[in-house]
Amino acid sequence: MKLKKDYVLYLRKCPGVETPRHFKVGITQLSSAHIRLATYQNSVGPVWSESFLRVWVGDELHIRRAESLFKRTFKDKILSKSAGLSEWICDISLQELVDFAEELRRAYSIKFIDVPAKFEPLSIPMCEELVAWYTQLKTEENNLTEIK
Amino acid sequence: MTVLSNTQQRDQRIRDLLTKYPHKFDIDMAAIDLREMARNLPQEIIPSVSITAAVNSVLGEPKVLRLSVDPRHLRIPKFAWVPMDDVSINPIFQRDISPSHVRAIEAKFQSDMIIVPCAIKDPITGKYLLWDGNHTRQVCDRMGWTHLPVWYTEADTDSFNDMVEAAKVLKRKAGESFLVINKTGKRPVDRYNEHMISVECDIHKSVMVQNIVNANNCQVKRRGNNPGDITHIANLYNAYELTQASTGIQGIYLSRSLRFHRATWPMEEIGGVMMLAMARLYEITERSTGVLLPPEFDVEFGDMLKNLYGFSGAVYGDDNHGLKGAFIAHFGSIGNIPQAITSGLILTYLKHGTQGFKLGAPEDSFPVK
Repeated sequence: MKLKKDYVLYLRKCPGVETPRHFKVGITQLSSAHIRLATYQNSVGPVWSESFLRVWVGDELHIRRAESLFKRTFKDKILSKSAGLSEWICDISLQELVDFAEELRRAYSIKFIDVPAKFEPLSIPMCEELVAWYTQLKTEENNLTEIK
Repeated sequence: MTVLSNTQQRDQRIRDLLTKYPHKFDIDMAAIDLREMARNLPQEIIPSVSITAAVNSVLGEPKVLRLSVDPRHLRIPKFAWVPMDDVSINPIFQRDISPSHVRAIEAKFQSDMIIVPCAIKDPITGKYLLWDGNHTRQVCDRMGWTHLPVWYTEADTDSFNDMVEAAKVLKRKAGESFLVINKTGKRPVDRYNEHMISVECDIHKSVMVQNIVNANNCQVKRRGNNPGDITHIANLYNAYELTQASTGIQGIYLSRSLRFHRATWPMEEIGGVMMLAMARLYEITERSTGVLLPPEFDVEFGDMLKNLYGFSGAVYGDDNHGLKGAFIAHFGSIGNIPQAITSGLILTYLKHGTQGFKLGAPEDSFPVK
């Protein structure tokens, strides 16, 4: 079997907005999260610092499913399907989205985990440490499974 | 002024249209859900103008103003009851005739249920040359009809130097029409519409399938968006057709499978392969043990699958994940997917089950999670 890819589910806000009401839900491979952040950083320049406000990690299949359910559930709050806008959930609170992420795990049996608070918001320099943390966690889990 | 892209303009048009309908329905380039749209209307009958508005919301306004052309003033098409012996075939723009297809439509022939054939009127022979409906012609002929209803076009003879030129132009038109009707312009009836029409027309098997779907709080949909939506119609029927050996009854295993899915993953659509694979698991088990698995099995197995894999789609997986991924990792490729997933499910229970339910033997063996 090919290696399963670790993925990140993230929520972003518009840079510079203090009390955001619009959030972009997105996914990226964990190992290249820093590249995704750099792409966003490039578009806002040196004035703002880009970051992912909230971050969850898991297996690609589950993270992709979570993303599609976010988009489906909040379809009415995505105001356009046009490029660059189709992932922005508008006029909503961060808490509502975080609650939905919790519901995905509880009611939809989708498996992904919170990252430690120190990784949020996630900025480019923290990505390497996040990868190391998750790799360590998975290694420990695998060892546990083997012992069982 | 903000410039909207074509996609944004289309989004806006669709949104504007949907504000007029309290019961929302899917609109996109591939399909407009007329069944759901109809729920907004008296007697669930949709006026042509409403369908046009929905199509226009996707495609944009047409170039010609609605109701601005009276086709009765055009020269085409014309309608006639043509004496059967005045109908002919020019094989240049007709395919071979299939006796087996004639037999198939003859078996269902009803005089008030025929599609009117289309033709050109040959300016040289005066014969009506069919470019669509040759099999219908054949059935009507075998039914003894003296005349055939025909939509036809004829050449404006004043526009041509001679009849040969007129015939040539008409032949080209007939050939183009044949190809458009039978190939490029054909939208075959998909399994979803086939099922829905069959249910509404009281076709026994489809009604039975639909009853099972309803009883398990599921619904057949073109696209899966909500819990309990079933979109894989082929596997729905495949699961229904599994027959209980002791009674000869169909549908028992489909019902059990749907109940299992709804109880285990109440927020999910019904995965087509998982639906069939679980129905097969019940069927194989009862055939080999003589016992239909009890509801306690569903509870144990459902919890097991959720803990091991998570949502239903993750149990099935893909090339790298779940039971499909495990099968491919072991055998290199996948052939009969429902069989592979059924085996994977049985193997999973054999590995992790604690309550000792006896299952049928898996048809394939490979390592599972």
